[in-house]
Amino acid sequence: MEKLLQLLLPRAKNNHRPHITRHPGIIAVLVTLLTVQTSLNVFFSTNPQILGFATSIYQDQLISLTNTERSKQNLNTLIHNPTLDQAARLKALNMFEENYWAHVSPSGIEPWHWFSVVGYDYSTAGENLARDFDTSSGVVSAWMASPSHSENILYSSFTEIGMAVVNGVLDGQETTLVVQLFGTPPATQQLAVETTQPTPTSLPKDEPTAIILPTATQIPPTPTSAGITLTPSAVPTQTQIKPTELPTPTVEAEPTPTIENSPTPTSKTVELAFNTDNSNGTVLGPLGSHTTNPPVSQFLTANLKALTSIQSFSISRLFTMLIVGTLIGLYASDEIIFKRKGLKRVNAHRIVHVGILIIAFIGIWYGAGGMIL
Amino acid sequence: MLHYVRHHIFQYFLILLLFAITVTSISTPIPSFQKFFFVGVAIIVYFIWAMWHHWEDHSLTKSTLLEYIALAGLLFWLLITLAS
Repeated sequence: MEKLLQLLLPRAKNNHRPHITRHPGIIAVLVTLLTVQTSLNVFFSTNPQILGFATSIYQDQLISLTNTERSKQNLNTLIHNPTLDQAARLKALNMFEENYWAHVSPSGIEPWHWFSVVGYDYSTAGENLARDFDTSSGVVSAWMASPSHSENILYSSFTEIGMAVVNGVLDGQETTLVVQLFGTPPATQQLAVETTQPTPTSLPKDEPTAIILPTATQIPPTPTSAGITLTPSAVPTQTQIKPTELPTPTVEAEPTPTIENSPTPTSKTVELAFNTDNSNGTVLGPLGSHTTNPPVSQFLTANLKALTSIQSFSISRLFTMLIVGTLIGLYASDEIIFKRKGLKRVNAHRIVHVGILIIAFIGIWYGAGGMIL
Repeated sequence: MLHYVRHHIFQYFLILLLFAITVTSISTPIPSFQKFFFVGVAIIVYFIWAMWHHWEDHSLTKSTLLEYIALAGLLFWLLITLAS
């Protein structure tokens, strides 16, 4: 017991300096960290079923959380549209392909290009992006914390949603991209406006209308025959795009799914006919099929893999934070006890050590978050 | 004495600023080699600063040297964890 106290607390027998804050103690902490981290790396690298990407982000959760946020504002529930999923996936693949983190690709491909590629006809659309997050709730929370992104999520005219969660390498780093697309098919635009925005401010009828929404790219509606007018948002960060510059969404082999009463699509494999040639001539890889509501066994397997993956990631981080937090606490308690005893130290460089450790701790803590765009 | 304290506080502030900038830098989406470069530079600067600081203060002992080697290693590992 006495040895433990000497290890952790300033006492007369340890010359009022805990052993753990001396260089042998710090080396011991470092060796412990290295050992644990190395063990984790070896374990997970030799375990083939564990993903290299540390995420537990699920499409269904993201949609559910998005709708939860909308329901808090008494807004309509967004209907999951697999066609939008495909557009989102194409966008994510293109981001990896061209290695960019932006709404518009370096070659000038804008978000709504992917809507037309998959044949999604829209009158209004939007896009939110996220990367480097660990959890679905983290993604949605970050979006909701951003006024511009939350405005997208809470935009009343949107009726459909599509998501893609894609792993890849961006800027030389393994990451998970989340692409969230919103859409309003032309046929539902008028209904949405009538039900949720009964008194829109009218723009001059002979001018093209545009919905201006936040940084998350908003695509202005193609003027509809119904002559819908929406109020441009006061958010200034949005670029307004003339309708004449927009690609014309075309309905291809797979028509845009119509809104159904059931908010959850039935379990089926959706195979889309889409043009893999984008405007830049880059050919994206085959999308394969998209399955919604997979069988229970697949669902459990996928969740188990993701759970194990997130654990490998979190264990490392949590253990590191635990060690650093303990060190900070010991340094702090050391100072407090020392002062209570009325003793004085000649140097104060350990205050700097604590400061540096606190900075590292905060960095690791907030480093868990990703980025949104 | 006051000059001594101010001098040390200023030095401590600079070293904390160095790590604050480093942590901020490696939290941004930059290539991994740049992150490792920043971490490496920060740790080397920190260690050199510490040695110089204690040498100037006439308090550079073998124990201090070992302590800073251990701490620099620990900080290097923490920042690498953050960077990765």
